[in-house]
Amino acid sequence: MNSASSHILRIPSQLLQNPNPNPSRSFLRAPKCAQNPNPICAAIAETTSSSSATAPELPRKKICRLVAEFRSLPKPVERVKRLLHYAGILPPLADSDRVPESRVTGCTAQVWLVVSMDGEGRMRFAADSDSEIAKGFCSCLIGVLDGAEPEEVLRLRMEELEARGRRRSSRRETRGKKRDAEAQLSNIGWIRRLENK
Amino acid sequence: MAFSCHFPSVSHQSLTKLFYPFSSSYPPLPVETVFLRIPSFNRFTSLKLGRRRFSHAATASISSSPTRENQEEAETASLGAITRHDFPILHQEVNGSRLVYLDNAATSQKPTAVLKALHHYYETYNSNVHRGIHFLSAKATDEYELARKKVAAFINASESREIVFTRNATEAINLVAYSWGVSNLKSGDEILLTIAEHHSAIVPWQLIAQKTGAILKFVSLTEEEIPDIEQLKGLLSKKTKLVVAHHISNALGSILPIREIAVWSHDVGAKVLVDACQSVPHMVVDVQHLDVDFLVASSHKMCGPTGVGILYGRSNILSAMPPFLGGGEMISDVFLDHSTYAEPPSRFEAGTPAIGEAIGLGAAIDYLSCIGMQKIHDYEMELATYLYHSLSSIPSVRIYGPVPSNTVQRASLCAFNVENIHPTDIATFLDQQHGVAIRSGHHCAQPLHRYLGINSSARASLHFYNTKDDIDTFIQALRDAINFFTSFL
Repeated sequence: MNSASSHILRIPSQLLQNPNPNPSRSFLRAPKCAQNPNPICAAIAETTSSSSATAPELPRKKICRLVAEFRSLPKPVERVKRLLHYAGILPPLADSDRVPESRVTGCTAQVWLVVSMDGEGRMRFAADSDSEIAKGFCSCLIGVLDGAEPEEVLRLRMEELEARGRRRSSRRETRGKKRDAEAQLSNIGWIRRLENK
Repeated sequence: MAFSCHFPSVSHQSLTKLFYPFSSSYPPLPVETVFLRIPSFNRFTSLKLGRRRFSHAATASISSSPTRENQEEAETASLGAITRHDFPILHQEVNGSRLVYLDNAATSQKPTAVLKALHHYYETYNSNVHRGIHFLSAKATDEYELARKKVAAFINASESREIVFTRNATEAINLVAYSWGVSNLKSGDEILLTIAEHHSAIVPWQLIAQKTGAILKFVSLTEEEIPDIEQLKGLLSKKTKLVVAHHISNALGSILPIREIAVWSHDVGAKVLVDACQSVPHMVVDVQHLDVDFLVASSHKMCGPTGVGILYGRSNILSAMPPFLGGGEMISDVFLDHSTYAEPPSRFEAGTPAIGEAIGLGAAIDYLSCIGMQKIHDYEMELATYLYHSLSSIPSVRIYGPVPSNTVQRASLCAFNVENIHPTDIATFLDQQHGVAIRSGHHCAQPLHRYLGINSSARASLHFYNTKDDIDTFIQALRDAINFFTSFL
């Protein structure tokens, strides 16, 4: 069934695939990554810090590092564990946001997504799910997209995840579901106002 | 060149009288099982058996009489172990593990015979049907109509024109809703359904109810989690014009007494539409015995291709129904201001049909018939009991639907939940870590899940090419998943 919640599951699900049995170096940001066993987490914390003097990292670069991180884990169970870890660090969603209007429709899991724009014109995302693995995917996506400019979010092509994951079988499904996600995001008033400028 | 079996229809006759049965700890094997015991080969071989010619694209060197070695093999091999050789897709690894496919309620796998029938059609005689006079068109038409006859024989329809090919069972139900429903239902009429119906058996009637003013009434479940038949009887009245019921529930695994439901419904003047998607592939279904007015099924759930569905309708009912879709094929004459329409089934088959796919469905029916639907049913009942009891041995698992017993049968599927673990997480782990394919979600049965107080469930559903080994692998994988999530979360 073609659904956006499956989209959130499916697009990063190639993070669970590891066609390369020889883990390559991940895109680490030493020395912080040397101190932090979760380089993506460090990157996410760094880029979401409003006090950072450097420009926020582009979503595209974050995807590269995210995929590299998962690819460095050779066993599927290790990648599931990593997803569950990300699920655990996802900030809880307020009960007031777990409403039908925030639901990403689908049949495999319940997913709630809240989108807003901060005072600096950057996109802010919050999400939750009743499935831990879906929550982990949400956490990864938010780590990539949170704090990005609207144009960067809209410009992001899930084919980039595909190219890095070398997974072709679900391209058509992914494209369709990305349209669902884009529709979801474009329904948020902030994006419409931006496009009207 | 497609698979063909010229034995009499085994859904109504037993061949065991013709051959001596094997003595074994298993139930006696009908002779057709002998021919499927040999591992599949690529070449096509014919075998004469008396005056019958048996040919199977996936077997070769079949002995006309059982050898001692074959007899010993037949005594120990299950139907699943024998037939899985005919399904190439089952012989692969997924994520480093042997694929264990337990999502048959969603769609079934296709034997080589069906794949070859499709390939043969497109390679040698692809042509539009019912329209051309040239050789290819005539052959395609003959094979397409032969497939219709096979469907009719498979479910014991009285004649082949009672079989309408649709795109799928969903379209078949919509056809009945928009053709029969719109012209026969009026404000205040009642349509009786169960809360366990598939969405395809609910939503079309909601749409028709909005158009006509008809009212939908729903039968809930008993404490045993079976649709309440007594409540159904109580809801039947002179206002009831249609009863819509599944034969086998795709989530509960329960089997409804359709023949009895038909008797009660007809007593009040109501028609009966049966969703047989989960029964036609798994057991003998005889529409005359069941005495139903409409019955729908899906090719892709019975080892046939996607893109083809089946609507059975009594001749007199179909003849009185207006068209559903308009276009070519379904007309008699077309004028600028009006058109006249063909007789059923053409009246309901507008446009170019899924010709190759219907022929593939015919090949699937041949394949299933050669095994024997009663044989398939008996084997799957064994699997059903084994699955249920294996699953229920895990303390944190909650299975939905009735407990199987001597008086209560359930199909070889189980929708279930594991305490404190989301079914999607379970299904993902099973796939990633063990190559086990199950489904998670609401299985197109949201009202049922809502009634049960859950959002979703996991579901393992089997077919005759599964084995107890598959179930054992699934159970072991499930235990592993539960241990993983319990320790990690």
